[in-house]
Amino acid sequence: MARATGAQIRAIAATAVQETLRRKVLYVIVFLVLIVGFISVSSAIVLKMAAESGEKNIGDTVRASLVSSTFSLWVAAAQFLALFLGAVGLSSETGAKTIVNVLSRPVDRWVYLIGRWTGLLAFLWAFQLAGIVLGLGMALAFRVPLASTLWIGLAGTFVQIALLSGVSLGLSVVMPPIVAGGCAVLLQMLPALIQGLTHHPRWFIHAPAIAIYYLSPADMPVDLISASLSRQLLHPQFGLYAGVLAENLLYGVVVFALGCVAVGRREWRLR
Amino acid sequence: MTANDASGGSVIEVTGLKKTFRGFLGRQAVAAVQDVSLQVRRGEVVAFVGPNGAGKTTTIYALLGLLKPDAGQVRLFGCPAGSREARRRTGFQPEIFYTYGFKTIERALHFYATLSEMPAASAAAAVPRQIDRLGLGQAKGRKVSGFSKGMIQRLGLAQALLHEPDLLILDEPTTGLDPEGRKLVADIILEEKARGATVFLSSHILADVERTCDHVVILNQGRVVFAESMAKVRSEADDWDIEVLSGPPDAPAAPGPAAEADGAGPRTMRCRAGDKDALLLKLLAAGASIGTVRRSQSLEDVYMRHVGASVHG
Repeated sequence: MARATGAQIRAIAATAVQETLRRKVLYVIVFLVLIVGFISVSSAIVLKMAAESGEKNIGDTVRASLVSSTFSLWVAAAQFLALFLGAVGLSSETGAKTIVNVLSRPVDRWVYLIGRWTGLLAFLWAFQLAGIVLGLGMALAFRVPLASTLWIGLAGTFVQIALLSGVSLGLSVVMPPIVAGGCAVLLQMLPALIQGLTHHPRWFIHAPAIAIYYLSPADMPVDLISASLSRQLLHPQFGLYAGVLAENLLYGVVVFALGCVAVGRREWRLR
Repeated sequence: MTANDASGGSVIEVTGLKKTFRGFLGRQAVAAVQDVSLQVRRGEVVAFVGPNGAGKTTTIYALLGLLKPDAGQVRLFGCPAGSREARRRTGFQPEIFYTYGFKTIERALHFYATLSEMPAASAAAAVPRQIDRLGLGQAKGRKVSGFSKGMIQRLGLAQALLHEPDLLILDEPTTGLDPEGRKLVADIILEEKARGATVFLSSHILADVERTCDHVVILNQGRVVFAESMAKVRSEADDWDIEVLSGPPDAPAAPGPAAEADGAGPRTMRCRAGDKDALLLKLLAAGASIGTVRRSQSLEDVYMRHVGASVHG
């Protein structure tokens, strides 16, 4: 039974990856590589000019900024893909009407959803890994020092992808894809939006604000990647960062699990 | 197969099924199935016929557990519809088979075999067997996106047969198939019956139904309006229609009480079964040219009697 379920998850995940690779997201990757290439060339010109004029500090800043931009660009693209692919992960199969031939077989609904998320995560994490390898390669090439907090920041990008894709896929079970994606973005932004209201003097404002704050994903207090590369973190709080990552990973899993419960009750009427 | 047969060995048991689809905020409610009760016993081939919108596909989706009834009970093999056990023993071909165009035929079938919990060794044997059985041998290694409509329908049947299910639910399996493909499907239905499988066939092709099915259920406007064995449908066809294409105006009258003529041109004469041979001999002796000779009550007649009035106003 467990072996059959594992095989089903692998088969559904592999199909989800194949399906994703046939989407136009590959153009995003090509576009990103082109942008990174353009930034690198322009930075190299600036670095050469700085070296010729003996400006060592400018050179260091430009190098760190180049690596930081590469990471930021890639992380933003990965987060967009996580939101988009998560939100349409279920509706694409419903729209293509292929879902009936899956769910009419002895496949539990939660197994199906886990298979889809696994495939999605495999693609997104591979995409993120490619960006990290590219960024680290540039850091080595330009001799940018790597602080230990950078690794937590990079691990955080994987957690963020899991959170966004899990939440948007989980929500897409009960709402249209565009609403699910929007809600996932809103949840992500809620802590920053609501934090100011948690100290409001009136209880009927600060009480719900505090409730919403704790029901939202945790907010990382600092952009670990850019702060690490620009060496701004004098007193890193490793425990806090790790706690935020763990909380967000759990948050994504919980919302996704709720989606698994909801998908078991959903009806499938294809027109 | 009868609506009230409560004996054991039932593969499908539907009791008082009702399903209404509601639009946004409950508006524009459409009662797709109003009161369907039926029972299908092991090894039977049952046709489920009716006009478009009669509720056939809704009933089938309820059998598969994809839709939940508003009222009534649906059980397969004694288990609730949609249970893992019920789905494990069921093979389903939808009216139009949608699958992943980027997979080759072998990969698509292996995918469905895995989902059907088939061991790898069984799947490795079953996939080529079903490909050959459905006449898809020339499509091996090709991606499904390049398939014709008929080939996709054949693939749809292959995936339903793959795990040798105890119950086959076929929703319009001959849609998009040429006559050769239609014959192949009819032959496969009979082969599956011989294997011991139960077949629940939704179809518009009444000739195929007459050829392959043991029982027929006619659904109209969400209700079962006729449920009978094909043997009974045939046995009640005591009258025969003789089509006279041309002949002398003084051609003999039909000896039975139900004789009729359609005017001076080609006409149809109806007679009792016992009088048929004598009337034919008389007509031929009188120089008449005979067209078709057929039982006056075919499934089409039964269908039109129960459905035709509502369809044609």
